[in-house]
Amino acid sequence: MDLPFIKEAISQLFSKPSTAMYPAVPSEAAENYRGRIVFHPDKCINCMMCERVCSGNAISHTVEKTDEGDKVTRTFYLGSCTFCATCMDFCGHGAIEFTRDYHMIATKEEDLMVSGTFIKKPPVRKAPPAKPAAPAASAKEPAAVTCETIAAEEGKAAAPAAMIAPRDDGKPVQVPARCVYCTLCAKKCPAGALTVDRAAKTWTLDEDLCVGCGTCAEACTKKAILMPGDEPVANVPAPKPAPKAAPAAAPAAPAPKAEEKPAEEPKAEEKPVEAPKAEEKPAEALQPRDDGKPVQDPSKCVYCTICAKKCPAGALTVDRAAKTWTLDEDLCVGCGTCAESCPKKAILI
Amino acid sequence: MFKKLIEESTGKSPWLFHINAGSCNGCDIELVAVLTPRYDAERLGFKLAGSPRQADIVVVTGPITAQSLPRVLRTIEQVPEPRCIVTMGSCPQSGNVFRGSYSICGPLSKYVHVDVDVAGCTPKPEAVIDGLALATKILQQKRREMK
Amino acid sequence: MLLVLNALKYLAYILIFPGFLFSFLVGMLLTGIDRKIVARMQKRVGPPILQPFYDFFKLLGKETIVPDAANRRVFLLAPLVGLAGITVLQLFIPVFHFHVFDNVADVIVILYLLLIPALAEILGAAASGSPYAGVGLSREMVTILAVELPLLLVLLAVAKTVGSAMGRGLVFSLSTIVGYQELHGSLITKLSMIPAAVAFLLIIPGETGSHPFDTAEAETEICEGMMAEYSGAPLGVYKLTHAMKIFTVVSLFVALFLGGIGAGIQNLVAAIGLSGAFAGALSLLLQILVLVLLSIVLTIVCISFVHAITARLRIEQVFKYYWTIVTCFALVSLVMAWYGL
Repeated sequence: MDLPFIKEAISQLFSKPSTAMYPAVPSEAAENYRGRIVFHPDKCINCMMCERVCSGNAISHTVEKTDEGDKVTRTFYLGSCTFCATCMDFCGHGAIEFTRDYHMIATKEEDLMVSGTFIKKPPVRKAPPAKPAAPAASAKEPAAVTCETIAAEEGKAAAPAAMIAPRDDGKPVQVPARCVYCTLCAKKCPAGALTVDRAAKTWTLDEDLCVGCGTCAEACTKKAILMPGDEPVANVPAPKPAPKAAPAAAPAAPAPKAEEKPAEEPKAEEKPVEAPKAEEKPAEALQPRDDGKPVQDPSKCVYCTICAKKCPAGALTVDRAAKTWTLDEDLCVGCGTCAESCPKKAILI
Repeated sequence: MFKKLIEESTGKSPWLFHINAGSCNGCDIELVAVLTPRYDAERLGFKLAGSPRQADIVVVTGPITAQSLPRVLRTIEQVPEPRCIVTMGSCPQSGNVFRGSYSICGPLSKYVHVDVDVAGCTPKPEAVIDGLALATKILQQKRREMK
Repeated sequence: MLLVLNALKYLAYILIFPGFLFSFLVGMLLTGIDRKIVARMQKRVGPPILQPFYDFFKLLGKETIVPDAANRRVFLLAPLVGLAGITVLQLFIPVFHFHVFDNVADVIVILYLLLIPALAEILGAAASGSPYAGVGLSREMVTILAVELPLLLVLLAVAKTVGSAMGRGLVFSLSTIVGYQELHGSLITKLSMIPAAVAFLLIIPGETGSHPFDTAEAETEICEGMMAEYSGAPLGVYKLTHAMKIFTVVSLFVALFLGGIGAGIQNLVAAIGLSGAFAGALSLLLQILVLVLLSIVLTIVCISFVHAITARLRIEQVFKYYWTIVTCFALVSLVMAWYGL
């Protein structure tokens, strides 16, 4: 018989036990421990994102119509929660918080419910006194604001390089010159309030459905959507890190064009302006294209197909076996999602 | 006086029986952790019983799969009164991420009266100790109401 | 009148000392100390020493379930038979100088009575109709068989040593064995008896069904084996029987090998200069105290320590271990005793 623990047993008998005397000595959970949920109803905008991402179906809500607006009660059932914190990550307004309180003992189901009630005001039909041009314009079109209307109003009201300012009611504003109509924002919108038509180059916001969660602005790779708190920007393509040959010329030329004929892409105008830029750069290095479309760096590419999967337009085909990377120029909208998703940074945009 | 002695003892010697009803093993591991030297539930009288006939507290983990449901109910039936049923983790309380699956019959409260729910996925050992302590109190209460 | 007094006296022997109540308290205490020491050796805090009492009284308050497949009468009576057996056995083991039965107390009787609790458990298990109990009882039988051979050899060696010293062949009477030790010193001081004492120490965990040899009631493997169907009060009685058996086996060791200590205590009391009834009572009290202390030490060494450092053996390993190593120790001792070493 093999008895390896004789020494251990005797030495432990005369040493201090390693037991944590829990109920007598209180114990605190570790840092970043995810315990009981705290819900801040005052911060919630009822975008439903948390309910959609919850894997355990632990989040629910009830709506009660009152004079002041909809009375929404959101309930978190801790008995169904996996404490994965996905809801917290997705909540753009910090209304969900995980505490380190692990003491979730109940004899009744109700004890495990965390809920909060808030009143959601009906959508604002009248915009507040117009500061910049854009909100005023949108106020005239109560149900839907398209880029054409904003642009048209702007074109009349402001200088060639029109400034687009965020709205005060918490809803998104599009910057038409930056938008490539990739439809990512429409896909991400939890409320389904956005409609983007790539062919017709329209971007439509349903004011009744929009909850102002900001998911669209976060999803936009071109920074073409402004939310409250953003700086007002000129209606020009987003600034690029590469030095521009004629910064002053660019906004003047494409902007009015895009406003009047939204079917035509601003990039058509950009081409001649940015042409000299290519010559200034070293010839050896792989250079991004001028038309906003991606370029592959074959030396870095590992053909993982992530870019092809992420492309909202389906313009990329990657064959891992044959090591080919093909871009369908007609489909590509130049949104830059592929470059962002590439783990090897093998795509330039 | 004898009754009082028995009542006192009931609160100091609760024996556990653990049923895994399709658990992912997370809660099972954590329940075992309660009995390890780090938390040592034996100092409070808790002991893992080998047979349901000797148990006082039944700890159920897992979302009650269709296969396990008749066994779980039969095992709970075998536990002598006074007994206490504790669900550990979110699964037996609601089904958790398995909710709505064709093979899940939970929650457990549909079939038997559950005394204590310990929420968490998985609960910390401290929370389990708290839950078991509450179950012990309920057990004592049940013993008081017997006879 | 004398008959009534005698009857009362024996009733007191059976119920209080050294019978039921005394061995109940000491046995439970030993079990509690055992659990505490094992816990400390495993770096735990461990249950309070009174935990076995709590367990016992809790079990008395639980519902008793009799399975449909069980033979109700045997199922419920078997624990009581075991308890009665161990209580009677307690009367036959002298506490140093103190004997309940003088000349009828025989080592062979003790050997038989030691079997009764185990046999009662086997009976109850067989009556419960559970397959786990069936596996458990077959293992318990093998364990009994394994332990019985070296135990018999140890007793033979002791009987031969005392017998040849007194010129009477084999002496099986325990009171004679203890009396011999009081005159000539404890048997453990004899060279020929050391292997026998070691063998007996190794038998203690097997006889009490303690850890490496608890194959018969492996709770994680066969659901407590023979006790799989027991609940409530009968289970409590079984636990009690187990606790009392620990004390019985340990005090048997004290009687067989450390009996000489009793004389030392009497000499001590005499040296203080006391005499009469008071001295007798004090001497008895001291003897009980020493016996309890020795039992605690032996329990810690033979049961708790072994429990903490070993893992459960398979049944054939238990059998092999007892019939080879332990039997060899006992045989060595017997051969030495036979040749008068």
